[in-house]
Amino acid sequence: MGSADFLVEGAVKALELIFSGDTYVWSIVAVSLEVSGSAVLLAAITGILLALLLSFTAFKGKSIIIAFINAGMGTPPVVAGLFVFLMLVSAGPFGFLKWIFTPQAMIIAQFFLVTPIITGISIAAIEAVDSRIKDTAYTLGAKTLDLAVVVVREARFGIITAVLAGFGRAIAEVGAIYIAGGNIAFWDAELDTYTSYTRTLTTAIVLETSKGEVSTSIALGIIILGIALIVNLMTNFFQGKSKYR
Amino acid sequence: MKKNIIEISNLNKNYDGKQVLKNINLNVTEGEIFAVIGPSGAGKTTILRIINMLDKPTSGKIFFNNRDYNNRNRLKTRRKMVLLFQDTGVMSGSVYDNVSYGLKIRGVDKTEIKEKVANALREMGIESYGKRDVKTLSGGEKQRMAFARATVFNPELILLDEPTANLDPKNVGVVEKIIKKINKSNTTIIMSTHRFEEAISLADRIAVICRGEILQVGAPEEIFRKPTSKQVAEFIGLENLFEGVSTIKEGISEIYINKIKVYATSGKEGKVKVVIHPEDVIVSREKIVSSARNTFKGKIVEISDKGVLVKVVVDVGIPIITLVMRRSFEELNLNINSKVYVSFKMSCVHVF
Repeated sequence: MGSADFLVEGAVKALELIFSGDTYVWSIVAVSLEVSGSAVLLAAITGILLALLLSFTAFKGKSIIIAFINAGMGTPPVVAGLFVFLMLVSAGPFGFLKWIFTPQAMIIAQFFLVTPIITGISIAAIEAVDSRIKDTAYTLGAKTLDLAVVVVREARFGIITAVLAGFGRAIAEVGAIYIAGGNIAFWDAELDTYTSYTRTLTTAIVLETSKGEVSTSIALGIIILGIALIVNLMTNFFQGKSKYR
Repeated sequence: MKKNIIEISNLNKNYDGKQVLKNINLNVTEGEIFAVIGPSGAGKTTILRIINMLDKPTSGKIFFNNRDYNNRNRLKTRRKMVLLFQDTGVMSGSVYDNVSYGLKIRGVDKTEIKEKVANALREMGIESYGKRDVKTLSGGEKQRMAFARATVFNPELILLDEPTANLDPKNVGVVEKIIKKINKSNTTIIMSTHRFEEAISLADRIAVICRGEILQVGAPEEIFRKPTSKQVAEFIGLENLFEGVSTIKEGISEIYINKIKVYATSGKEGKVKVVIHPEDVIVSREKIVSSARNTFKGKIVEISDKGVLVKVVVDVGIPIITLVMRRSFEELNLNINSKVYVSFKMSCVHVF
């Protein structure tokens, strides 16, 4: 069998898996989206509020906090995963929650990974808002809360870009969810197939490739590329909008 | 006697260790147009921003309707006034979104907002602009939108920072009319400007400010006739300001100032004020044949050195101040009592 045949055969089988609605493959997609989606949602709420708070206040040590946030943007996923593992493992301080190797643990790990990214980019977006707009809202009678609403509205495209960047990071990372989630899939006897519990697109590719199941890996790879492509197109769209503004 | 809407006492403002405002004492009377005039960087904008609570004074006190700014209810005080910036900020969205903003955050109900916004837009002559995206507005239209946005909630005090600085001459006229119109409804206006003519044509009283200090406060004529310091005289004194009576003949104003007849393109009749910029006046030894309609014979009564320029005052029945390039001054061999002609175009005669 030539190398090209091996690739073609793998790709054809992969497309079959995708379009036949293979339970195993699509259960992995569902877990991935659920975990990364939840983590990004929580991180967005935290990050945007944190960014607003930091942009609206002036205090000693603010620059140090911002330096930490910027450093946090580059946290290696395995380190975030290790941290959450140590916290949640049965001997750890939060072991009593019994969350280790659950989607909750994965969400927490990705939350730590993504929050600095959303916060950092949101701060940049908020501080780029024309100060005249803030002054105008103030002189028209805005309270601090009104000002925050105006600023978020003006910075909305930048903030959306921040959230998309966070999602792109979450959906593509392996290390954090591998360590915190354990890459678990259960055998479903009724459906006669495996279904994912904490197995995501990225962790599944690692496993299936090592097992030699390249067609499954290719299928998952195509899907994750598709998601990444959509996220990037959206990011470009909103970045274009924020530049135009 | 009318009461003071704003009282400022012993106010100082330091910025990055630099003193921007020095010991400001100022009262503004309810219903007046008060102009703060001075060169750029004098501290005009800072005064307006401090009055509007956008900046905090380093020391000193301010009262709005006898209420101390340090009182608890700053928001309530702040919502009775508004500042129009020299360079207007626009919130993204439509003209309606912008103009309705002040009402929305004051919790006014929707039908009332609609009505008031429509009124404000009509007042400013932009009634059909409601749905337009603010980004598509021209400079003049943006300024009208800003006026509508600021007046829609009926503030007692409007602060205008150089309201005509970024506008073309046509829109300057429009904005000056708007300012007068707003003032008619007894709204107090404090405006900053670096143009003395604007202050003359609009203000009831003027404060001259230079390098953070108020040099003189008074009615325009008073400041013009009796500047109390050399600095004030230097800032405003290089102007020809006269009072006269204008009659219009064949579309041209004939303005009698004492016995001198000056032609102007203004459409104003009756008692008027006239300003002629010294740099617009041509001085010649012989009577020159030109398109300038105003030519007068007179003699030089004063010469003073201004560096590259020489200030020459020519008495033609009224004293006309002129500025002559040093080279021209030497070539014309001008001296005190020299007989000369002064000429200037009709369009250089500014009538208020």
